Amino acid sequence: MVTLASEPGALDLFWFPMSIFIAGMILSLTRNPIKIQKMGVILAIIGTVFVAISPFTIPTSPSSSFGQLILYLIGPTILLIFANLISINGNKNEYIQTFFIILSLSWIILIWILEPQFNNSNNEFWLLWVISIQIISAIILFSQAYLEEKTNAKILFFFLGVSILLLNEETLDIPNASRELFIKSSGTISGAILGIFIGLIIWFYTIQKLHSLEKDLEMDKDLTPDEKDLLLTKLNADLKWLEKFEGEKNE
Amino acid sequence: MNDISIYKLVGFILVPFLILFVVWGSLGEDMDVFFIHFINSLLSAILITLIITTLCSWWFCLARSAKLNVPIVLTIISVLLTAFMQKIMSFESIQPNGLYTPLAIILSNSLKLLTISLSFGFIILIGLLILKDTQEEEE
Repeated sequence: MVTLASEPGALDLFWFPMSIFIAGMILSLTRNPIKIQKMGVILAIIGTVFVAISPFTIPTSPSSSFGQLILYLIGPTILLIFANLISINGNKNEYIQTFFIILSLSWIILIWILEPQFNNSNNEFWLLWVISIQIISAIILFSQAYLEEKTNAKILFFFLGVSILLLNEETLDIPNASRELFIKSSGTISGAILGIFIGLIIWFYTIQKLHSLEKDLEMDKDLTPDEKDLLLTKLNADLKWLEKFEGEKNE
Repeated sequence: MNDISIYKLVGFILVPFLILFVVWGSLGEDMDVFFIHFINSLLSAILITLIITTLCSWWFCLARSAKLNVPIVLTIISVLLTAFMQKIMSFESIQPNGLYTPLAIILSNSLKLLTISLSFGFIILIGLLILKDTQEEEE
């Protein structure tokens, strides 16, 4: 807060909005009341906007290159979400859907060709994003190649995957191609996947171990009349809350 | 397809990457950067996952009356891991270029994790469109 009073920095204009975004997402995904969910979405949008404009508010901070990535990706992502929503809603308009998809992918390719710069060097988060897309696509295509039964389809998926990986071969003169970047990004992605897996195992193992140390549950004796009254009062209160919640949801 | 094996699948996915790395390594490409980024990303991802799960456990403890022992043990593990990471990441040999403090490395890696998640989300959006079109063609 001291920084807020003096001069706003990365803490106030980047990491604070980032925490607001995370808090908003947690509220919208974990809370049942509709009003709180809406509030969470609004908080997440406010956080995203502040992070996206961070290249203009704190141009010297290295974190702002992530904001620049968000700024570039907001448009294409919204178009793809619209394209998905059109097909979900049933009243399918293929022309509009195709238009959104082509516009979104052209937007991404245009950014790729223009090579986003931040502080006079290539935006490292943008480069990581592009290579992550390539690696994830290649992994999906190799999986398809393994799972596919038809030989022609197997070969097609496999060569598509290989050609995506070869986009990073420097001798082929492809824009942004860099072996070193690909090697670095592969290390980051594989480390992240393994790290998340190990983190979840530690969490799961801790819970399992602590629960195994607990004594077995014993059955209660019959409830006394007072306890029965209390139980019925609680159940009635829960039912009333549930009816109220369902009513709000239908509204 | 009856003989689907998870090990074969993982091998099938990893072999093209390994061949590419071996070829590039033989052409003189520095492979140390892979391990530097792998270790940094691995430790950061474990720490971030544990911090998130610890926060969730505290949430369940304070808001849903869950037992106190789980968040306390997870908090202790997170603190110990943070101290371990402070020590490990102070070694110059595994510090990424331009990042000199453990906090800077963790913050940078958390943004990289978010970037990878964003690319995964983008792939899912495109995958959903492809899946729906394929299903409709089959119908």
